[in-house]
Amino acid sequence: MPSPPQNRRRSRFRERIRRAAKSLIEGWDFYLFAVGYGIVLGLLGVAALAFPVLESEAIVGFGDLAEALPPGDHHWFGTNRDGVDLLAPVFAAAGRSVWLVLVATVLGSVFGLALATVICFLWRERGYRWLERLSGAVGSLPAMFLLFVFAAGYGAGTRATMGTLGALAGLFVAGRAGNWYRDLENQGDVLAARALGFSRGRILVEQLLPRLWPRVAACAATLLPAALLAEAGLGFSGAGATVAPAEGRLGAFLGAGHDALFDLPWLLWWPGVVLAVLTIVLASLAWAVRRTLDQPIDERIF
Amino acid sequence: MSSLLLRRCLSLLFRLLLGWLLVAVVVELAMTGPRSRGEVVGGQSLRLLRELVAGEVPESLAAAGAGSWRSMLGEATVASLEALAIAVVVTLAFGPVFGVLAARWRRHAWVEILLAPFFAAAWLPGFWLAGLAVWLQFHFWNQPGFSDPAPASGGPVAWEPLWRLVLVAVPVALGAIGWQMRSVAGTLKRAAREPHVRAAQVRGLGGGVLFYRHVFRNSLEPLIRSLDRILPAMLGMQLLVEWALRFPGLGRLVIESARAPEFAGLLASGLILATVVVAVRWAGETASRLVTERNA
Repeated sequence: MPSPPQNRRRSRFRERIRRAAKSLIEGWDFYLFAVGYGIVLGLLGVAALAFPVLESEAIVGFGDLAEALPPGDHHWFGTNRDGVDLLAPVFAAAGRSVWLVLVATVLGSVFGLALATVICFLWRERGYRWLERLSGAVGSLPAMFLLFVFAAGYGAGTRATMGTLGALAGLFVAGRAGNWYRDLENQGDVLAARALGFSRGRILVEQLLPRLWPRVAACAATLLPAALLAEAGLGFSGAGATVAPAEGRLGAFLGAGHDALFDLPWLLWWPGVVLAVLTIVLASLAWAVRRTLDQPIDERIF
Repeated sequence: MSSLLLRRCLSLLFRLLLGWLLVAVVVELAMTGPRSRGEVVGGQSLRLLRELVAGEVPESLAAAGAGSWRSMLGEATVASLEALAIAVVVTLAFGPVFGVLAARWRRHAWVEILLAPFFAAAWLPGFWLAGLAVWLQFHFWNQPGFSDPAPASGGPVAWEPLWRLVLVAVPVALGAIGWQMRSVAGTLKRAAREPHVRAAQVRGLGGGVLFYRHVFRNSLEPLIRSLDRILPAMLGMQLLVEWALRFPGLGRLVIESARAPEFAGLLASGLILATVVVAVRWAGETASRLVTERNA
């Protein structure tokens, strides 16, 4: 006699499929955001890798001014003096800029969290105070100014820009993470864990870090659009070009467009439009990350 | 009161010293870069300071100005502060007002829709807008658009100097208004979710009275503090906008110095920027402390 259906053992594979479907249905907005932003960032990454870097002098071109065509049906972004269509180079530059900013902000935030964690582990209250002071002192100078100063010494190349942006993001996140550690350490369950005799390492790994990383991720995402603007501003100004120019990035296009403003104004129009759209896209990504992780970051600081 | 003011003055002095020290450290660090290889590392700031006090502006910064450092820095600082003052006035005229309205009518979706363009404008690159303004002036008015060299006669509008200041201030303020609005609205919305506000609502206190007499008044301190938080970001954007417009201010000096590179110009501009930010933040903190003491 066959066993009744309610006692039949369910297939593991089916169970997994059922759970995945349930998770997709419940978190559809999150997956939609992830797929949408993934496609945008992925395409920009492909564009950055697929097209060669256009050197700063080659953006305007060396040919006759009559060769340059304004935006039209055949060339949506127009051409430069050599007749090179600017659509692909602009998107490739946008991809390089966006990925540089993404990598710098993520690495910088991880560094900031690690710094705050080490300080939390070693010095606690005194360490938090120092972190807060350091972060506040660095925050009292415009980040753009700091970028210009370091660009004057180390250039505006990819590594130097990534290092400076990452360090600024790291210091900012470290200051915030110090405050968060202090708040979390005074919460009831952490105090209870300490009273029960848990080691500091165990409290850090089991109680503090799992609650801290979503805040750090939300903070890093919120820094992204401002970092993109700063990176583009650095290339636009041409600071540090004598050491290492910001070649092949969006700022370089904007700078070249600004220099040739009265001859080829479309060199300024379209890279600027792409930059504005990407900044708004990154701001909406930050909003989506904050919403998904349920981390309302204090608006007063951003 | 007097002891509070004395403590605040000491705090200002300490912060100014810390800010200047930080600028010197940053410049020293930057001078260890490949461009300066071979120079003695450390103690260069003192040499640069001596140069700034007694020396002349080098030829590599001819585009930013000429003559003695002191006169050039004075003129550039005054020009930048004038533009910044206009930007701050415009920001304060719109940002907090719209922020309060957004928080007051927070339950209505149309308010969010109406204010969405301002939020989006906070992310527009101001230096790009400044470049577009230059091009538009050239295209429609046949004027050079840049602040330097000055147009031979009249210019597009009657008050040429004021027009140039407004051109710098508007892209800077456009971004800051969105930030200010978001910050003020966020602070008030959080305050409106406090339990005592809900209790008052349950007891039948009207929306307007509750909001303006209790929520707004209780949030006065964080609101005052939020005014100075965007200043570094505004100054950063102003540096770029000034350079895009070739405006003879600190922005042009900073960027020409970074392009040259000329570290004396960077050190001087950094010291001035740090002084402005620290002083404004100190004033905001002092005002907020005074409000707290008065309410206590």
